[in-house]
Amino acid sequence: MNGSEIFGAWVAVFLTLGIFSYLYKDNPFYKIAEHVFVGVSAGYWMAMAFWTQVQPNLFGRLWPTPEGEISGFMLKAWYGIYNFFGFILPSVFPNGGIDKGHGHDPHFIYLLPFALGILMLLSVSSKWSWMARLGIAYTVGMAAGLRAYAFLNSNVLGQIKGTAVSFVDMPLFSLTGVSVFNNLIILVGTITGLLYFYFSKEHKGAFGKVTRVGIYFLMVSFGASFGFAVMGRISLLIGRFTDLISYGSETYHYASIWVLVLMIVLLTVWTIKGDKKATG
Amino acid sequence: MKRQLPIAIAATIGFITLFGWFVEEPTIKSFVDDDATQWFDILASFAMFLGALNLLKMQAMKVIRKQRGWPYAALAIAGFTFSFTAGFIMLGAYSVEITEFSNSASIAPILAGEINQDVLGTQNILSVIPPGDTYTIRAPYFTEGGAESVVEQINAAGGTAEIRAAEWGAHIATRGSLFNWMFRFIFTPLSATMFALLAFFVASASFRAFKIRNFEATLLLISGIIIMLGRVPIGGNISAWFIFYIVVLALAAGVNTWFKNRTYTLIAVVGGLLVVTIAGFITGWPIDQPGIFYLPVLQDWIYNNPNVAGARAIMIGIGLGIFASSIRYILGIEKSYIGE
Repeated sequence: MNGSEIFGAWVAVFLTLGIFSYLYKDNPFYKIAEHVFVGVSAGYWMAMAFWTQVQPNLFGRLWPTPEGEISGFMLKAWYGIYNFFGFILPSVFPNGGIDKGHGHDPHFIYLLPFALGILMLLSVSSKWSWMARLGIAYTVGMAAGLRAYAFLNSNVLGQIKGTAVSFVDMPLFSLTGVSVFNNLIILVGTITGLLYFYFSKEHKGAFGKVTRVGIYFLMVSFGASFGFAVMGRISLLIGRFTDLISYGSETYHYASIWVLVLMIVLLTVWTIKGDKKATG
Repeated sequence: MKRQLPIAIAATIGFITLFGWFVEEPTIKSFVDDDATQWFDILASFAMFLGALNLLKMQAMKVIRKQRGWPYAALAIAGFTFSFTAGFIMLGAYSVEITEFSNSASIAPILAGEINQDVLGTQNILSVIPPGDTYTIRAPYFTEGGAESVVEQINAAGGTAEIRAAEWGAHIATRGSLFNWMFRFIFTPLSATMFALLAFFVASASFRAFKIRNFEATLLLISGIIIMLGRVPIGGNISAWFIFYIVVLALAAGVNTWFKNRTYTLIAVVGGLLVVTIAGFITGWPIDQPGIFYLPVLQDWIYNNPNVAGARAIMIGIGLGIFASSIRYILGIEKSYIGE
């Protein structure tokens, strides 16, 4: 086991136990881990967004690897800008253009999202923040146009199609496959559940009884989601314990045990000090 | 202009994108299918940069003004600086490729230390590599100097080795890079533990839901518990007859609530238990029969039927809601994104 892995294990143990220490109460270890998480996450997602989107799909289209010698004043000037950036940031703008499979000709239309993106960043300045609205407006308009149809197609039409079930040529009751009873459950559940979301009429009388059935179906559905959420969290918890146990071995110089003991001692001191302050 | 221009952009782009689905015009179609979505992803990435910048600004202000908890804000900035360094400045993913190792006896002791093997085991590894092939030491060398020293040792021992560096961009998924180290030992433990923490609060959440004591809350919990138990090994070991008995007792509790009569309740309890016991003796107590009380089967049925019905109602509702709000955005009725 090399040094970086062992050091990494100690860091991971400290951060894991720091988060778990919240089970006792909000304390400095939790706050340290929490703030490190916030900072690291911001940097992590920023790097991911840059290397998976901006560099290959934006810069890769603006400055693709040219085919042969660059000719023409405009193109030479364009790649001159690239070379300038490449001199400052060779990792982002490697020599000879960015080859990400977007052809060999620059897509100048991509200057528009680039400009909108830069404008979005102006949001941090109170004077120029209104310009960020342009980029946000593009994102909102785009999302609205794309999602209006996509959601109508998948969430409404697709689900209605799925609910339009058959009642012929199938067993009356089956637990494991399709049956008249199961299809009836789906049909009744979907319609009554949808009716529950109809708020233009008061849920009273016969309508109220129907919507009540809808609530029952919704509750079963929420219960299933709750079950999956709990299982997911418990599986993560098992994963964390597995790591802590493995980091508690001799290979990692008993990292879990040492950090745990140290944390308990320091938390005890911190609590006693806090109690004394409160009483004194 | 500060108001109208963003609304005009949202409306225009929204209209073009929406009508791209309905018209057979290749230019618009290609824009909607390819470029527009790509632009959306690019702008979403810029939104992430903006988020990071905002976070930095806020935390830095906290530190500068020495507000309450400023040392923690400094830690957040330090965390960001570290991940920024790992993402953009320090590659760290250097490996050593050995191209010539015929003199394996002298190379093996150097290599053994690097790959955490004994000398004999390392010699065995080298001996099975076909002639002409290469061997790469993938130990994480965070600096070029670290890899260089290993190369020098191998070259001095009669072998030939070269440094190989991961490409920028590929480094985010390359084992051995500083970014990958950060992902494995900082980001993953923190995010996984943060989410795992919820497992501890589930018990109190369930208790609160039970305390409400209405039929809906009970339904929620029962379906949740069945889904959970039915999907883990222990659920398959719980006999359907045990669940059958619980159902009989629950029904008897229902009879008691409904009629408020002890005799009826007694009849329901004794009669129910007797019927289940006799049925059990007749059938030989098979663990998975009757199927409706066998948890893996029951959870599967709940998941595929009542759950699907409820989820569909929610999805249709969401779909209609998104459609309506999208149209409001495109028509310029909804202007919350410009702060109105």
